[in-house]
Amino acid sequence: MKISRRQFFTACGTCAASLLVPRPESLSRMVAATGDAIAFSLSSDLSDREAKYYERKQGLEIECLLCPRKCLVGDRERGYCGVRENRGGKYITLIHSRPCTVHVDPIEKKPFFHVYPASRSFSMATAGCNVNCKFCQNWEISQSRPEQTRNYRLSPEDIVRKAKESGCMTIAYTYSEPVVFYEYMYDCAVAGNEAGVDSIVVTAGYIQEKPLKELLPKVLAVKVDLKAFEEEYYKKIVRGELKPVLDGLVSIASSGTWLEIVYLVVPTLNDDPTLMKRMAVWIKNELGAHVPLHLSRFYPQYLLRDLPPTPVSTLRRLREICIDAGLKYVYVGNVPGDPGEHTYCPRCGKRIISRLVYFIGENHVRNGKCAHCGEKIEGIFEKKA
Amino acid sequence: MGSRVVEISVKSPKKAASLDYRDMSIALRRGLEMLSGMGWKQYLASRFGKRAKVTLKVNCLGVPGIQTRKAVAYGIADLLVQAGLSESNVTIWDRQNDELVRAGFRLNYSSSGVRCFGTDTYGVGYESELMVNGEVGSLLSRILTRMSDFVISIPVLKDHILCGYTGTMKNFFGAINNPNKYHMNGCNPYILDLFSAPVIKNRVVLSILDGTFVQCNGGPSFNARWREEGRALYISEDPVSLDQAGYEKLEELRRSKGLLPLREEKRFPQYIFDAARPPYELGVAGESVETVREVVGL
Repeated sequence: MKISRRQFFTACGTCAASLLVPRPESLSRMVAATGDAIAFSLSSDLSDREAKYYERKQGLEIECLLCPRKCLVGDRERGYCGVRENRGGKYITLIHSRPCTVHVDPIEKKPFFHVYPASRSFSMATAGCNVNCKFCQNWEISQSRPEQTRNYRLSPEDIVRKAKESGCMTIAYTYSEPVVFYEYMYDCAVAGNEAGVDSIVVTAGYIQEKPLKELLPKVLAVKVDLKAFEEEYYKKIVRGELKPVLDGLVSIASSGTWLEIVYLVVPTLNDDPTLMKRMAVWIKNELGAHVPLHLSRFYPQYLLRDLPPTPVSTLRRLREICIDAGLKYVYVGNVPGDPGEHTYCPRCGKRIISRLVYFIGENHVRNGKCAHCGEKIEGIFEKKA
Repeated sequence: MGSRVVEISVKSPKKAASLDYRDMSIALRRGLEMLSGMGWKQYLASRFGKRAKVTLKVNCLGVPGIQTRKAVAYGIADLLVQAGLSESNVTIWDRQNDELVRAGFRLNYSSSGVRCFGTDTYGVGYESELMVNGEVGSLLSRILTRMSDFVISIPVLKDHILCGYTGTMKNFFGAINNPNKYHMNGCNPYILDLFSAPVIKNRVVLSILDGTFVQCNGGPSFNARWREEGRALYISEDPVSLDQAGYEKLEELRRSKGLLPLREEKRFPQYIFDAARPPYELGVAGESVETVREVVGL
């Protein structure tokens, strides 16, 4: 997506104005300000497609094997995610081909900073989530059941066709939690691969190893929201577990699928510099120093409204700690205009990709190398022929 | 009458499934009199007045075999009307219309007759403002928030694979948009954080636990193998005492079937007993619960 200098500054101004409010806009307004909303006809019914990963237990009970929660679900009950239902011993995904949100976004919004910079991503979500983060900014859809959202009826083929028509290089499974619409995501990724549209996944990474490993060959990149580096935080704030997420990160990194990590810095809860350093060292040793880490600013919402936004100084200090620990690409997120938004060459230190919010200014990466010194810049900057 | 629980057993040549609302009205009348020490009509009139909007929260999740019997819901609705409430001020509700229909209820959105519909009815739905209380953050049914001055909780006596027992306090998982989020740790403290929200606690002034049939294992869904005829109703103004009585009945039935106590299955419903303690103090639990029993012949 090439834009003129005038368009760039106009868009930056609009975008910055929309973000520089004490409390972030609702999802739909944010998207309206930065992406293209797409209208489709609504669906009044839900999917009755059989889910992939579950096991029948005694009687009509089933055990879900998609995420580490391993919900034991009685007949006509649903798992924690609220979108998978036991119907007489058969586990059903209610949201296959039923997205509740579809938009075209800049890929930087996901955020992916090292994948097809300045490209458009066909972004979609369904209702439901398998965790319940107290700071969730999309809780209206992630914590809802599909009956409570307005859903479209879009098959994987529809999604791919619309993505191509919209000039998108990728389909992004984002906003809520794609693990809960795994089958739909998988089918979209397969259909996209056949049509030359890549898939990128934005997830909390709370998934069992088997479904994750079956998905990875089908997708180009995964961004994992690593919520903290201690179990207690996961238990109290996320209502999940850290260990399976770390295991998943290792699986992704070793699979060759591109990986980026976002860490939302919540004041007083997960901003301890010592833990941050430990996490950065772990990322460097277990995943690789090249894995981009985005330190995002928290704004109070959902169940965490009594905390202030993260001080920018905290984000900058933590960024320094992570760079000192050996990570090559550490970004500051949700702070429009911060120098931490740009990509710097790890060797010569020069700014090689400049950004303002979701928009790219200059890009000095050529053939995956710094145009100034020739250092390799890890990422997927161009589509392979 | 705070912690008093009345257990009314129904003796009738009819099968339990054939008991109708007239039969249940007779049992309910006697139960309300035993609970209050006054005439049933006088009790209902003094409790609800004549202009209040009273809603009856039933539990139809276990349809077709272990849902709140429509005979019980229409039985108490009939008594409320006889006590002076307008029919259109009495509403039977649950989360979904299809579950109500499959449980035998007749949907009625009109202003004539006792109304009956689910939260998923077009134009009803959930509040858009989040209700936060303790660990719970949910959207509440508008039937609860906008159509109810008082709520009579009418759950069904069931075993629950995760929290052990489900009765009147857990019945309000059917009044929120995201009950699936609150089944960890035996639903504790989620049941209590939800029920103690003033918008619920202050409205629920009477509970009638339907023990016509009891799911003594494998609940909360219907599991024919473990469904027993109970032929009893349990009535109380104290939700904690009522749930304790329901839980004790469940254990009694499980013993008679050779099933392990819930504690040994690691499903002991600790939440009932926590409900009586600070910070919740939603009612009385333990030995001070007074259960009075009577058999009503039809």
